[in-house]
Amino acid sequence: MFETTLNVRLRGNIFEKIDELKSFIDGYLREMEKVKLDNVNLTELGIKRVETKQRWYLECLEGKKVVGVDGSQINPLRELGIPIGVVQVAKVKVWHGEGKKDVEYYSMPVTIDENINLKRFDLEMEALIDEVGEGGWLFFDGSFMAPEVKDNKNVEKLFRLSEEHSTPVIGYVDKSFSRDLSDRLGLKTYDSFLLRNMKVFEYTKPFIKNNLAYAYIKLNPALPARIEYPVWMVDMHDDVVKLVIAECQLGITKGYPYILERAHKFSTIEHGDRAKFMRAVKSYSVSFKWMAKMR
Amino acid sequence: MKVLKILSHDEFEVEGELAVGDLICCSDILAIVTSIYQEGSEYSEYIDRLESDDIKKFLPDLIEGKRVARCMALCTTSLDDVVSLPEVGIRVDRIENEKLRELHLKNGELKIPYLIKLLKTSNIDVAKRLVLRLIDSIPEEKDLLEIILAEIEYNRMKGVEL
Repeated sequence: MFETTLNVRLRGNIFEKIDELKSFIDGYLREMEKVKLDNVNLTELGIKRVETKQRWYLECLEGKKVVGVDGSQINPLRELGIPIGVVQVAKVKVWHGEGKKDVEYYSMPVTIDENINLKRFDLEMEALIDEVGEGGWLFFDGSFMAPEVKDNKNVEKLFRLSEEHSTPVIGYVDKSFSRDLSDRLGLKTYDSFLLRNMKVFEYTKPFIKNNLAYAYIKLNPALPARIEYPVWMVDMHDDVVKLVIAECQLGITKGYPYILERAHKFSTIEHGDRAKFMRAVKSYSVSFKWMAKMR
Repeated sequence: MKVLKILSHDEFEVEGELAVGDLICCSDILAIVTSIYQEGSEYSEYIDRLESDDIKKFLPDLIEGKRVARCMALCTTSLDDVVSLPEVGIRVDRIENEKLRELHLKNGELKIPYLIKLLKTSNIDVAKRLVLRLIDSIPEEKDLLEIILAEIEYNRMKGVEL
């Protein structure tokens, strides 16, 4: 039943059909979970486990500079007749154990004709590229190989500079629905579903796809997270995984890297900020459709 | 230290390292700290697993938050009623014993015109701290101040059902 598009049509309101929808979703997930790894496949995953002891994560992070980059956006204010939105990216730097920190912001206007998600991704890459010569461990919230950023020039540049300066760059995908590993093993499911039975702090070996390496780490009872990095870092895999897990141990949920948690917090454009932005740019031509909806 | 917010006709908040019972002066107003709280601290979400020293070393971007002291205006520096509050942002100073003594002794006579108001509107501990501070600053009035202190304690005991 593994389909990337669902040709299902239900006649009626979503909430009238909620039971049908629920049973459809349950059935879909059951199909995904049915796919199991056999012993041959399991060996190929090269699963290892990070050994932990009290305060191990602080020892692991002591003296390391980590940098997190994340962005947020205000979509073009269509309802006010303003065809321009904005993207804001925060870059948070923390020197663990030294009590030093720095926060930098990048922002840019984006017209309604441009793909704002792509513009945001490019600005995030620029923030990382600016940092790559300064050393440290760079974290990015997301995938470097999502379909919409395929063959992205900034990613290529980031990876090249990362190798030139020996500065590790790690993409962290909390909820991944990639199928790279499943495809490789000839299985029809999502990688994270396939690996759901891994134990906490277990991780796979890195798998190579073009110029990128990816692997999965189980950080909590939920589905495993995916990490990605340039292929030159493959020999550092165990250190990368250990650092990612240590960084997650600092986070509020222990399942998401602290530095990305903070980058997200700093980059977020709150509801109040959006209102401030709207007041500042003012209305150009209010949409009557929007006014009708507001009533 | 400076005035952060005006709360009412006789209450305001000050940002700074103060303790409950501390006496402060801003502009020509004498005030007492009645409570303390921490505003906007991000530490609370991480403190369950890390010591605060580790938070400072490993998570330096977290906001420790402002320490805010809620203060009650007692009187002016000439012991008159307060008719206007200080402005936001105005400098706040702690009152030293010598100044406290000078304020409360008029022609050699001890005056605490705000005591009743303080007892009625504030916590007994705050009033007790004030009287202890006055004993420290004006030792020659110790006997009288100890009577006031005993009265405060009596009022506290009256409220307890044994």
